[in-house]
Amino acid sequence: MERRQFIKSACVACAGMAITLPFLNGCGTPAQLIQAALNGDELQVPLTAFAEKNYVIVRSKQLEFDVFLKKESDGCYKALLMRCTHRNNPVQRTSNGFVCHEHGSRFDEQGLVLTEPAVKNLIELPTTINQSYIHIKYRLP
Amino acid sequence: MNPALKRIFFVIICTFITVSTKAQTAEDSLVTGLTKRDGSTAISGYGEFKFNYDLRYKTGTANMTRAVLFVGHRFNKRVSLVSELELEDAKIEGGEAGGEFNLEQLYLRFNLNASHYLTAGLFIPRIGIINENHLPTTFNGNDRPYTEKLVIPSTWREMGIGFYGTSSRITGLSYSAALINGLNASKFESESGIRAGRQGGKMATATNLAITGSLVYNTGDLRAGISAYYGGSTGLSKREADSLLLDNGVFSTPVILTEANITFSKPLFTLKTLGAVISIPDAEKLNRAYAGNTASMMFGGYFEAGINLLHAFKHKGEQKLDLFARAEIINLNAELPDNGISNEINEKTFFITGLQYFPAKGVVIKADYTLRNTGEPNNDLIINPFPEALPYYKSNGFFNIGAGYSF
Repeated sequence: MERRQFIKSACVACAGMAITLPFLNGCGTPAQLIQAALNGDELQVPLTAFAEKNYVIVRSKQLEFDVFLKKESDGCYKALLMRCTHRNNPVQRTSNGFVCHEHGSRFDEQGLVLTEPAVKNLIELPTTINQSYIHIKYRLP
Repeated sequence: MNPALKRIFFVIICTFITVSTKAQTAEDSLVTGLTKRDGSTAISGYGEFKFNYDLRYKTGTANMTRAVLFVGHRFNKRVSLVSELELEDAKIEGGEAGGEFNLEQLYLRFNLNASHYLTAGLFIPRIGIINENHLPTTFNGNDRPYTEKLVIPSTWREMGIGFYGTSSRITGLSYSAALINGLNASKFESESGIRAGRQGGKMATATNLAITGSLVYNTGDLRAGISAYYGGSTGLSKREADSLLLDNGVFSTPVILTEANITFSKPLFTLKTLGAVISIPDAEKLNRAYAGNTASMMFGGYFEAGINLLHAFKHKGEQKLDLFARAEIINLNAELPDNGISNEINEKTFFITGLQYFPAKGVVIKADYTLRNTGEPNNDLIINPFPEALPYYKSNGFFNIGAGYSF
């Protein structure tokens, strides 16, 4: 095999992956993703984020995992760390819960385990409401 | 006790206590310290063992199928290490068949953001269901589906780089792509398809490469996935390839695998189906070079249904009792090149049914019956026929009882 041919083929494969995959993330309808800055150990989400929806996914560049924040029917807010309790991989939101693609663990909307190998429920983070913000305590005691 | 021995014993005990404490602290920090805890290590694992009884030959075997130790280390929020060390069949002894000690995975993971990451090293590409999700508490039966062993050669890991992500725009969509070393066609065998050609990170030929990609979509209780693999299978120099009348190049003598699967899960029941096809357009060249009787097309598929009996009887709690049945069809010589030799023993069907009891989360006890039917073996391919070899039964049954764990 010619060196030039090897390099050319490998580059074509890499370029194909690099070009194709970002498009997958760019299509479809916008999700409920909002950016929030970490203030100390807290994430702050404006209450206005729930004007037209009952949940948001909170992302911060300073943190490794997203937080699922849902407004319950009683008006309280529930925050779940989107990290699988099996091997600490990120979980993905589905239409009725969460799934970890690494080993297939599934959780329901409340973070309860539906399918192993995860045996522990998703971690719930404490929330408080102060004026016009929901405060999510990111570091556990 | 000898004072020197006492000192050695004391040092060993102290070392053990220190290491245990550190491991516990590190593991806990992965669970509770959600920010700024770099340098933490996590340990977990899984394993399975079984007793198998062959109803035709009236023989039984008891085997510690596998034990896997997972060690993960988080260097910082961007970089972590994932490793899995596996021992199959309890031990390895020189001169004896069976037993394997291997790295199932060892890769560095680079987080790009909360939903995208890169992997580099020895890893398992996302092809099918079992290849990536093969913990014993997640599949029915003592044996993994045969389609995902003989057609998709799980557990299939190779060296390379991978990209994994989940869409933030399409809820439930995830995708992956990887560039890995290709297969080694010189080891392909008629009765195991491409399985023996896996290289598993052991001095793999890397002048032949492969690309794989997958899409998985979760919506409600439904999970649908597709994946594909395209890779060269002859990692030879031009001189070697010419002498064997083979092509050489990154994607020469390609192996093409396509697969689709659907899983529908409810608390009461689960339905699962998967189909996979392998195409090797240049199989004739491989047979001319290696005489491996490689087929140009192979396929397999299965359908499985399971019901959670305790849920059906309104039982609440962490215990589960599943009843399941699975039907599989596999043909490893669906199409043969002109120089291929048909062997109907490679046309197989399996029917498996059994019970799985989960006394606690992470532990499963399994009992199942497997009925295997195959075509007639080609007598021209039998080197030592009966009575030298045991008679071959086209229809045979197996009873398995075993257990598995994952933590």
